[in-house]
Amino acid sequence: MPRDVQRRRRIAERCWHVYDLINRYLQPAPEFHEEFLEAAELAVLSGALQAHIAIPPRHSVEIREEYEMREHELIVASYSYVLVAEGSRALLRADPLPHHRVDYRRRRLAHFPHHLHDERGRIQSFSGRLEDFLARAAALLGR
Amino acid sequence: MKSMKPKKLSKREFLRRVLAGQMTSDQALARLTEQLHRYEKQYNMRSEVFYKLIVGTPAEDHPDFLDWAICYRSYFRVLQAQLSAEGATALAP
Repeated sequence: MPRDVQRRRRIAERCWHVYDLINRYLQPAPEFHEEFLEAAELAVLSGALQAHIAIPPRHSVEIREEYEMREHELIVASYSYVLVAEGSRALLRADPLPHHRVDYRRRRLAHFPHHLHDERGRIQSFSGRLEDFLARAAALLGR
Repeated sequence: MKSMKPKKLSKREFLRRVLAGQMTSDQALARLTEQLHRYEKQYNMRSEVFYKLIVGTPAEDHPDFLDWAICYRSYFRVLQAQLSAEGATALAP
């Protein structure tokens, strides 16, 4: 399989996984299904997923993932996951930037450089897995 | 009247629609440019300057800046792929 075809396929498969997780953990607005397809199409071309998911009535989730192919595997090289409340306030966000080494209790991050900024702005350990972020967001939203 | 709730797509249908997508690289570039311009206007800074000054520093740890940086790199990836494809076409016998 030509490399570019393989890369496009792997990105589309990752986007499917993200789509599936969102449906599993959250109750997105009805437009989500069509809007996410467009975001996935752009991801296949650009190598990065940028999705805005409205969660009625007042929240949204922003998912950014940037991909790289290493050998035959697709890697999430960088990401930003944000749960946004009314007024564009970030309630919960996670990223792998290496600017924090300890959590708010001064304990080493369990999965450095992955970390999470919780609803009080405190740094916490985070696995780097989207499913863990969505589970936490769902718990915050009471779903 | 009862409204129809959009149904979740199956994996097969999702992949079929995404991989058969109609979006061109010109359209992708236009979207990314629009996003870059929105951030440039919001922060009164050109993307090149933002990338040089902010990315790689602790100031980068902000949702908008992470998004802006990803968007900037995405723009160049699409552009590079487009130029490679055009180059290959020009070189074709």
